[in-house]
Amino acid sequence: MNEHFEVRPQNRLSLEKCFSLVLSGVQFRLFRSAVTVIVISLAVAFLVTMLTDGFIGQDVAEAVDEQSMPRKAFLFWVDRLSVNITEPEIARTLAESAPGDDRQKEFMTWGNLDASTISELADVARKEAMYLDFFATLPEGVKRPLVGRTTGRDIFAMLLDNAEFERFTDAMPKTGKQMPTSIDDFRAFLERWKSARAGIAAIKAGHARAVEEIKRLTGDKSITAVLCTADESFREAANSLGFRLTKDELGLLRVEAGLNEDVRKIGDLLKVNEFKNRFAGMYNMVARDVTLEDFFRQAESEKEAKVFLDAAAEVAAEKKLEPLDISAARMVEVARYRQQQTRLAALEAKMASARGGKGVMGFSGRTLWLIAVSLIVCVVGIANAMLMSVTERFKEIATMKCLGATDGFIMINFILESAMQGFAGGVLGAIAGVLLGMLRSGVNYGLIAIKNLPLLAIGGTALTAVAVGVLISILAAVYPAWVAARLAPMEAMRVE
Amino acid sequence: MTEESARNSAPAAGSGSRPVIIRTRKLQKVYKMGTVETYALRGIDMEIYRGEFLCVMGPSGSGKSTFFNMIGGLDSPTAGRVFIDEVDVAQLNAVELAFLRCQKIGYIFQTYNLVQYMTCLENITVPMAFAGVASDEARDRGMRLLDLVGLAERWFHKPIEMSGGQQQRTAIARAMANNPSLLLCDEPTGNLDFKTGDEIHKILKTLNTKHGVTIICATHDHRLIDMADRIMWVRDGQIDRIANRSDVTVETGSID
Repeated sequence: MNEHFEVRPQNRLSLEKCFSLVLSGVQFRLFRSAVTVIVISLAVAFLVTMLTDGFIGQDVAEAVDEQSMPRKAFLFWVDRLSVNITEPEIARTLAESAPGDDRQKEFMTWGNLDASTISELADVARKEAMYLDFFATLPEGVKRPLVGRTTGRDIFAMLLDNAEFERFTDAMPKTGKQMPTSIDDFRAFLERWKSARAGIAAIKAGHARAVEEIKRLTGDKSITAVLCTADESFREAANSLGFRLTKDELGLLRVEAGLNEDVRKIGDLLKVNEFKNRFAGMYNMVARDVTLEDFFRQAESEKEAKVFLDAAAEVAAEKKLEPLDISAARMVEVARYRQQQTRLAALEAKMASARGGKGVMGFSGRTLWLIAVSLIVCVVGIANAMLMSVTERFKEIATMKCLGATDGFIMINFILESAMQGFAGGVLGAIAGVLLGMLRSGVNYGLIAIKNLPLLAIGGTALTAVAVGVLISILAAVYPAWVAARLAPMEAMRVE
Repeated sequence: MTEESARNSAPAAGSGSRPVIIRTRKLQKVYKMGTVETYALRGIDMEIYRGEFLCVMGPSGSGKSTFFNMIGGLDSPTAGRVFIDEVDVAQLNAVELAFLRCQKIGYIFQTYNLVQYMTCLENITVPMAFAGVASDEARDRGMRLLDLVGLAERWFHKPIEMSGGQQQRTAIARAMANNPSLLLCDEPTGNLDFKTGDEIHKILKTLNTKHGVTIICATHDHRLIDMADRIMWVRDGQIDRIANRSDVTVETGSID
């Protein structure tokens, strides 16, 4: 054979050779591998379910916001056009406004203020919101020594008095709570707040004048009734009084107002006892229990609506009341509108928790803790299973070393095996997690969740999950692989 | 550690003109288990010649296995030196040792130690893969080796489908995969019956005489000892006796 040894560094095995060796090994230990894969997929599925649910929830929140927009605009304008605005409302609106937007322009007109004054008022309003938030979150026991029983903006009014402010600054350090700014900044704010009061009062007075004028123009009719038929001339009149009502808004308002008016008219039927009894008789109910919802529930289709309206017309004729001026088709439309409002209201309630969530992605600290724990348990479990595997394969590893395997090769072998299991588990977990997350959201929020899926976000989540699966597997395999790599080949050589 | 300096640190060639493949100088190995020190080898000086068939005998606990580990590059001494082909084993790092085990030394175990999930042929080609041999060439060489040991028609069988003798023959073919100069056998026929053992012995002897492979066996089997060139007894971590085959009487005996 050879004459001389030439000690050369050992060849490094190509990656694909490693791969095929590992694959054949896994096939041999399929059951143990399957168990590991399932464990990983469970942890990954948990993580993915949470994330998918969170993403879909965010999406649903956006959709709800969009769909509630017309009604919110309607409620805003009804208020603005007919009810005198209060100082807190002025402050809130200013805090949320942007320079040069319609709300600021309205205030400028009513208060006869220039742009710089308005921006100062807006700045003060923003700070006011911050301080109000701070005071609102204080527990009662802490608040009492600071500001007594005063709440809201009255706190600022009270603290303008020097003696009160002294008491406040003395008591503040003892509470152990931190103000969002320094006491000096607060002092400066209070000064500005004091000066801003004049401007706010001017705005309030100007708006009250405008509202009075609107009342004069529209007479006895409710503002909703006015808006049902409001046309361009109304808009121009309102804008001349300082309001900033756009054409689009007017269109929206007409629709909303019309629907609300019709709801009111139908609701008035509840007050007519004869009709209530008639209705109860028609649909096998107790007259006392009949509600507006019941009316709308019986108007699902045009045919049923016609039945309802005919009965209403008969009663109106008997009692010499004004007939209901609503067609069957319109009634169905109104019923649907009502249903949508109810649905949105229910979703809004659920959204409150999804939107106001603290922590990452709207997850509470508790959820994050759960996810972290499940991943750690996974890592420990996999490491344990791997160690068992290494111990069982002592002889095999030592023999491999006798045949020329480097320590590095053994290590790569185990880590690769683990990574493959992690990949399989990650893929399984991602699929299961996405499906479960969609199911959970569907149950929670209804069909609205499934209609517009945030596919990009979900896809990103799935990919991250697979990566997480691979990562935790590799992490878990490091120690066992190291143990295996350090094994002395003499283990294989048992000479008795 | 370059070849040059490794070579220069070795003492001059041994007695006579026979080339030496393994040389040990004052070889010592101490195992420390807590506070207890066990002297496995207490200073062994000897040489193994190229192309020789050497049998090592000794009771359990005599340091026979430790000696095997030393000369096989599987362990390093605590004192003294081991030279495999004039290269000081202690100077080699882990990667170079792996190379040694892959290309220069073949191992045969009492329990065959085949990879259970690979076929016969795949088992044989594993060391070739480590040596960087292309898979086509590896397969060809593997089939030739299987021919050598007489298992050509069983190349696709898994170890679990083969008898003990067949597995050991596969192991021999695997040990020869990269044409090593040295074959270390640890009780090769310990788990085999008489007749199968005979076949194995024949193969080993053929490898030694026809292919010039140096064979070192640890064994109690008298038939194998019968085939040896030299026989070495180890006792208490030291060489009790080394003798040429011709100087020793071996009774193989028979049972009727």
